[in-house]
Amino acid sequence: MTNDTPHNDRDAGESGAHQTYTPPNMLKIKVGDGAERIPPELEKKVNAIIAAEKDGYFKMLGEEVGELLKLKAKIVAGKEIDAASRERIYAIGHRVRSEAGMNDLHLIGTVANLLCECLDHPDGVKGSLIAFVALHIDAMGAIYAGGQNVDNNAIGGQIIEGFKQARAKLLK
Amino acid sequence: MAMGHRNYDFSRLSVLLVEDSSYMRKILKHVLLGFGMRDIVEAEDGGSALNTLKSRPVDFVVTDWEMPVLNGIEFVEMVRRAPDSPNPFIPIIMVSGHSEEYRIISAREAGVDEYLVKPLSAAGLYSRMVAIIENRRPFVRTAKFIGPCRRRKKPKHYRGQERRGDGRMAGLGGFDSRAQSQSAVDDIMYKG
Repeated sequence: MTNDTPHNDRDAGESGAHQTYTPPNMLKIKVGDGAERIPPELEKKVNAIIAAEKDGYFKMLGEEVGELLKLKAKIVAGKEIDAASRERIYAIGHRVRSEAGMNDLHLIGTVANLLCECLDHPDGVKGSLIAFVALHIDAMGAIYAGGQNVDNNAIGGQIIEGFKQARAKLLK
Repeated sequence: MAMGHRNYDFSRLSVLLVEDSSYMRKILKHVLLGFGMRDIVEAEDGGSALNTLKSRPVDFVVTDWEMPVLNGIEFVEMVRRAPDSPNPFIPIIMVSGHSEEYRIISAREAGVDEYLVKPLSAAGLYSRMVAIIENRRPFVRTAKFIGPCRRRKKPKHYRGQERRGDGRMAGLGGFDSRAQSQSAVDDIMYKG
């Protein structure tokens, strides 16, 4: 359906001729009315479904961390981050930052996020990018080795404290 | 308008789920099944998702960003702009680990309806589904853009919670000061 009513989309950087369409809302017709916030019983049920996958996720995470550690060994030995290794490290880091938090593994997810950020903005690293990347991967390895409850115990706290201090030195 | 005492009947909806991670695909599928959906079609990348859309109509799309072959942004652009697109107006929810401002703007410019930052939560996905059901934006076509209007008020029920991070990580900082929480992402998506 097309109408000629002027519609202001200029805030998004456009000006000049434009058309506005209002497609029929088939979704609304099909689903009817419902709650604007997720009903608590539904949220509980769906969160239980996600929680049931935690063990499987932790096992898969172990494989990904293992691959990161191998890639780290390769770039440290070769003294350079080749494009393929960089791409693969980013891909794994991105997946971990996206998925770990769902399984209450926030520490490793946060370090993975910082790893991706430094690959996105390598100019922000003052010293060796290889050392910086290696630090993050080592931290992820240590956090993983701390087990599924590492976020809630003293080991996790110690790893993060050491990671923070080492990271601060590399940023100086 | 959404009503407070009824549950949506999602059982009649069909969705195309585009995600390269088998784990995330499984989780998303289970969440959507938990919502009551029955017709869930899966694709591992944007290229196979496009082929699927051409052979089989669905009611909406949930897509990742980072994927091989054709990534989520390229996929959305093809759906919105390709001359042979089977449905340029189909609602699209992007679920991605990217949360930087420039990336959110790219998604908006590609024609994404809603953007949800991973880690995924049931409440977050539900709120985006409600948005495309109750507050679907009109489509705008200009010389450079076709997609949902990029200027609309943020729905009041958005949760906008920060799901990444941990108190012990405070002070670490990052390289990109524009890295966004979900609520900041919503502000970018809903300039109004």
